[in-house]
Amino acid sequence: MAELVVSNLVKSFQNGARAVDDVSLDLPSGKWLTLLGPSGCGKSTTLNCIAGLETPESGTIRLGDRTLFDTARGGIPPEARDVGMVFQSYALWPHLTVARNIAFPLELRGIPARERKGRIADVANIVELGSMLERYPHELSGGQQQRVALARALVYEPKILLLDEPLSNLDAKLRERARAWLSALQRRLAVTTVYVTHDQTEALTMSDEIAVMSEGRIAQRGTPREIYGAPATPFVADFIGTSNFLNGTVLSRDRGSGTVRVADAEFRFVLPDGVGVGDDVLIAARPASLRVAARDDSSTIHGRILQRTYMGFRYEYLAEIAGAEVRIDGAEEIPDGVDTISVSLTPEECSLFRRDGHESKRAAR
Amino acid sequence: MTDTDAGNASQAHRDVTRTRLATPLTQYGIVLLTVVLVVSPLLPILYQSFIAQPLYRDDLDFTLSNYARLFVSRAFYDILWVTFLFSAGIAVVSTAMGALMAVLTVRTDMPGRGWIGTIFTIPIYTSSLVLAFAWITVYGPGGYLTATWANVLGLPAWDLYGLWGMILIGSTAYAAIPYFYCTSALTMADPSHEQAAQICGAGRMRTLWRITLPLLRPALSYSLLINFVAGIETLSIPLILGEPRGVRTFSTFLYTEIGKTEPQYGLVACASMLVLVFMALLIMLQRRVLGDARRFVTVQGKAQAPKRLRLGPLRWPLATLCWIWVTVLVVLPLAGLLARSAVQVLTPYISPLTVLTWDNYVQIFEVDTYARSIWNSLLIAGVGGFFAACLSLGIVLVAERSDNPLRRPLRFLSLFPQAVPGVIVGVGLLWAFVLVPGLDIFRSTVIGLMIAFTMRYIPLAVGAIAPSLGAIGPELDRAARTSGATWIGTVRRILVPLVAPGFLGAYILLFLSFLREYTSAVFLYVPGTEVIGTTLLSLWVQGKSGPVAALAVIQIVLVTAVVLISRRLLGVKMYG
Repeated sequence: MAELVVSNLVKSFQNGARAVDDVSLDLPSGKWLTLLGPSGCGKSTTLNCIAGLETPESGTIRLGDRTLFDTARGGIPPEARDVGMVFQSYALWPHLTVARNIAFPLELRGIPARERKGRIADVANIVELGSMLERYPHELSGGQQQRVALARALVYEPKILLLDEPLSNLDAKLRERARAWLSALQRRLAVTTVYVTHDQTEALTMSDEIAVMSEGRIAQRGTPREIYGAPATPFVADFIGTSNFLNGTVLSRDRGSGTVRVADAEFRFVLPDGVGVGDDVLIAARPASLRVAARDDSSTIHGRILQRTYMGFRYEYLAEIAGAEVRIDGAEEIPDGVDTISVSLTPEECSLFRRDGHESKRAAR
Repeated sequence: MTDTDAGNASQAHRDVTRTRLATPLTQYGIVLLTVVLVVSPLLPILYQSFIAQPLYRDDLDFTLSNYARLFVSRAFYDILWVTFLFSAGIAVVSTAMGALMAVLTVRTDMPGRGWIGTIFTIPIYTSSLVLAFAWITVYGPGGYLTATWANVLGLPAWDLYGLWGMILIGSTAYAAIPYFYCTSALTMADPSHEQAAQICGAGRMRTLWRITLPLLRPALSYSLLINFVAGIETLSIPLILGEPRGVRTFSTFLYTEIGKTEPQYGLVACASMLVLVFMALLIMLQRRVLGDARRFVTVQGKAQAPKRLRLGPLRWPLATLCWIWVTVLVVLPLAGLLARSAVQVLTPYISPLTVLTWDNYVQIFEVDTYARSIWNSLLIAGVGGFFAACLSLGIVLVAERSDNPLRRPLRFLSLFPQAVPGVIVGVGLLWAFVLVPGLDIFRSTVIGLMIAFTMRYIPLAVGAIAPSLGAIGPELDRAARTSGATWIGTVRRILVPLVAPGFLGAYILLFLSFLREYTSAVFLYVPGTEVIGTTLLSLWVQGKSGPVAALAVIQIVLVTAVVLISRRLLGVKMYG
């Protein structure tokens, strides 16, 4: 196992736009880092650069005491990097049995046949595939294929495990189980792991650390708790957990906190540095922090109902509040004739950002 | 592998150094081989076009006078004009025939459409040389049906020789290409286009005319170009049917000029250069049309069973016309050829049963030169075809599945031979073998012919392998690379096993093509390296029409056997 250090990685598309724009990462030995972001954010390109499948223009990639890539000397080819990789499609070789698929990397490393057998049996046990070894990939279910791919990537004890959306081809139920299983396995083997996904639940539940990526850059880096609890930008807040965005104005500031007006109500918020009196702010509220208020008082926000949806055990309202559209959950039904809604807000569960032109557009969505 | 750890480590180290070199060596080796193969027939021609004397002489003067003489030569413009008429005629007539037949067999309920379509495409499996012999046997001046028509029935006879006959036979020979393009366009096209037109109120015939045919436009324009190029290239038809009437195309001009005792080498080279440039332009145009065609035709990817147009009362009349059509153009000539091979003389005045003989076949197998040409053809097709398939596979692997900086030029280079007529390949390689010391070994053995045929058919094989390689997901190679395999290792252990069916298909395609190829061989063969095609030609020149028919039948039997075996056993589909 080894520590991974990526610094100032740059990789451009053919048209010159940057797929990966000055990305730096460090990952201690045995830890799990998730690269999280929407498609096209550069997360897979970063992973491929680490694997050696793509060649960056500049930057350095170090794994343990080896330099895998640097601008001046170029990169070493993927086969010499000693990484294990699981692909989104699993990429099992269809003409080889499960055993031969797993044996392939061992054969390339000149491991004698007897030892190979033992190691294949061990790894097959670990991924719970012991009885499938003589089957061909097309005879396996999606979940089994995924475990073969994992076994193939682990069998030679690579220095690092790279996973490119390995769960995205599984159905919802299987995915949930695979998540817990994969995460436990990684902890047990303590293999340094880089995991790429666009699924926030996978990222939050499995990672030691998350790097949220957007447009080729790292938007925020932190533990799942930090990312979820204190998103650094509206983008991160939006991407992690569906957030509602409300518009507000800072009325007063008293050291770390201040009063913010949202529509016709006022709340006390913890204010980030650089936000002063009179500033327009954007409040990212988790769905749970906005509720239909039981009673109407000075701490409720009033909005106009645009649309109501019956969800079975609850109601969801789309409302306009201070120029922004928000979704609010409620247990009780608001009668059909009524078109205003009273909303309560829990400031402690919200994140607050200074507004600029770009973000206000997002909020007005 | 050694058992000790230290041994392992140093072995591993040696392996790494060895394999590091193996990948670039293999890749650049393939690139170099392709460059040599494609360029070697062209360079001597370019060189010869700028020197006044034959290129094998010692006293050479560089000059532009060859070009100057060519441009003022009246004969050359005549040749260009005839070549244009002939090629354009073939392109237009064959495309019209192929498209019409495709619409009738794919989109209507005409009875017997399956058989009619199959018979219609037979000529592509024989060679145009054999087809020309077959036609002459039946429709030539002394042909069986001509004689019946003119002498027995006393009706005015036709003259098969000359430009019109050439166009008719050429179109029959090449009509299968537009037919295949149109059938695939018609089966791939989404039937909802036609249903939509009918819902809008268009009748069946109007739908056919306004919707179905326009959908064929890309297939049509591509076929026109391909068969135009085929017309420029073809040697047999103008040689057999044009020369006797003084109708001379570029191919026959080259053939007769080189055959002279004092050929005007400079002139031949210049004319070849001009044709090469023209062909290259055409191929570029064709590439652009094809690009469009792909976008146009295969949008809907899946083949659905199209609703057939009901012909109603026209069913039987149309079917009868089509049967007459394929019978006259294909069945009768081939039947005549078969009959000719089994009799001493084929005329309406003598019952063929009284002159039945095995003599023609016996001659073929008893005369060493003739028999040898069959073995040579099989050897070249079997061994040369295999090496050509291997090289094509290598080219596709480097061009499509490597990060070699030369992969794009390689792709272009591998398709370039499409622009080089077979006669030019023959002349160019002949000169190269003469010019470069030590290459004489190629000329005196069948290896030279293998090289020529390989150069000719690399684009065909590359085109056959590329789609099956494309169907293999790139993540499979990437997984092998991250598992520790080099590029070579990935190719050897993952890609080659997976692409094997595509490779086999390409090999069979090459085998069949090599078995029929003769245009690039006519200048290259020497006593001992005859192939079926060159023997057919020389037998024809000697007037031995019986043995010609016998050898042609043998070639057809060989080709048919290979086609049937590969279809049955391997499920490989030729063409279409």
